[in-house]
Amino acid sequence: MSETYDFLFKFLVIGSAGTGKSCLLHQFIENKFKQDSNHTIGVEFGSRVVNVGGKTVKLQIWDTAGQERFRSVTRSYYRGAAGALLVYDITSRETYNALTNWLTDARTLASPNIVIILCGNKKDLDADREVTFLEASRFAQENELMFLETSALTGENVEEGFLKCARTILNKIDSGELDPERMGSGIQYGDASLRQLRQPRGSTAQNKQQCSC
Amino acid sequence: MLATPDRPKVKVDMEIIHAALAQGVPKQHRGEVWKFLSEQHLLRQTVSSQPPPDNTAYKELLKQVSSEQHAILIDLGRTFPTHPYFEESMGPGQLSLYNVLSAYSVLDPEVGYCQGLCFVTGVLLLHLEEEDAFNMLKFLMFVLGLRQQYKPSMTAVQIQMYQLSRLLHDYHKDLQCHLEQQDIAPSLYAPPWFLTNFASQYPLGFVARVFDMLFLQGPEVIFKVGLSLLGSHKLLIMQHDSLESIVDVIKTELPNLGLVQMEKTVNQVCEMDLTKQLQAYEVEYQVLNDELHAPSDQRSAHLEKVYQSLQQQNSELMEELQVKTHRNSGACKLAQVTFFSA
Repeated sequence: MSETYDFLFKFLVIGSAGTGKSCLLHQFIENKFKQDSNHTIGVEFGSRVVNVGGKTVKLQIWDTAGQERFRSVTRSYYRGAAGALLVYDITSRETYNALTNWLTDARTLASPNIVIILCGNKKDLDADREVTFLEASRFAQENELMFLETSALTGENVEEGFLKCARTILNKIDSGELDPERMGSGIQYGDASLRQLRQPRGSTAQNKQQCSC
Repeated sequence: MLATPDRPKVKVDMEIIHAALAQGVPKQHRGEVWKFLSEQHLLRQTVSSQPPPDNTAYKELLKQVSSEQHAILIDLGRTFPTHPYFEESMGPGQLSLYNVLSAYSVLDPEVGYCQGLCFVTGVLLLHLEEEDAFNMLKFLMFVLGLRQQYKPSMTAVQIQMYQLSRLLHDYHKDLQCHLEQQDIAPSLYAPPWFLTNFASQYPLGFVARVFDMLFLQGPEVIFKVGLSLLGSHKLLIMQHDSLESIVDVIKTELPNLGLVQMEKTVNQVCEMDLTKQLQAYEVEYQVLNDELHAPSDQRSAHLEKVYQSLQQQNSELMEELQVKTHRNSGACKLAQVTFFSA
């Protein structure tokens, strides 16, 4: 790979079916709205290198199928995620009501320290709104989540959502609250990082290169 | 063949059917051919498969309100969104799609509606009238057994993923190693293959051929097509060594099939037989899964037993190998032995 970066963060995009998870990812990666998209079956993923607080961070983003039964297929991809976009649709109370379940899943399957940003998507459809900004921001506060309303269609707040989450993780690394060296932190040092200065994690890295079959 | 009088009761020689299908199916007859193949399957069935829960007429099922109504509606505009027949919001295509899926979810409440079914139904609707499409969906789900993979636990999908990785190990070991080094398991790329019979990502001309083979041979076909496609693109995949680029090749290059590749795949699929391996790997999955969930002391006792039996097998294989090496046919078995001793 030609790109260099200081850190790699593993992100998840989770939430009920039809909330616009894949469209948020597409908007973030391609900077445009995905008109004719299929529904996601299983997992998809994309990545982008961004600049946050003077650091280059590669976001590796895992987009999951929204139908509940797919969790048995997607849950193995939760492991070791550092951040998550938890998405609901502001025009559908049902998708909002499902948030608690998604949240429990993310915290138990990924990591209790996972940094989560709640995204009320389809902000452009304000006329059909079923969930108020105030209500969702209370929910976010009670559950220690960051919160934004987004529109994958217009692109409003999409970039902010991903960057905000990345920035919070970086801050937590700086303050020592998050340890990138810990197994399953969802954070890796990139090529441009200080890795060389630290004790190499040689044995684990080497093992991975060997074939287990 | 299609015009045989009293067709559903007349068995046709399988050799003739295979030969005819290998030549391809004219598009205008495809729906009729699928109906014919389903009739032939039912005529040959020795053990009766799980019958549909009831034989309520399609029109009756349509009158009932499906509890999955909302989930189905969400996916209508996200199924073949660029195909002329399905692109119009609640146009004839989407309406038929909704009807068939809604009726099916009433017929089979355990499965209800599962994402992926939309694509399968969509393909049927491109070749059959609505009610026939419903009947063929019923055939695929209940008689060929596809419904297992759509049940809420989705255990069948987990088993399929395990089977596929074992088959990859058997047929394309180097590729399998390469993928494992990047942590790329079948669950990352193969669920849409199984849950839509390749319909969500592949050109419809190819998907139609996959469905032809599915009606003829059953769900094993999906493994065969997957193995064949991965095998044909092995060199290309192995040129890449990052998670991103490999997944990109699998998701965008593999579906980009020319006619030649398509024919090659169809021919390979016709020649493969995976029945035994698939059975063995399903059992293996169950055993591994039971061990994982057994209490730990029981587990270690059990593992000890497994270990002993593997050792036994290993030494038997060693002997066999020695005998065979003498007969000059050793090389390919060596891999097997190292695997068992690993």
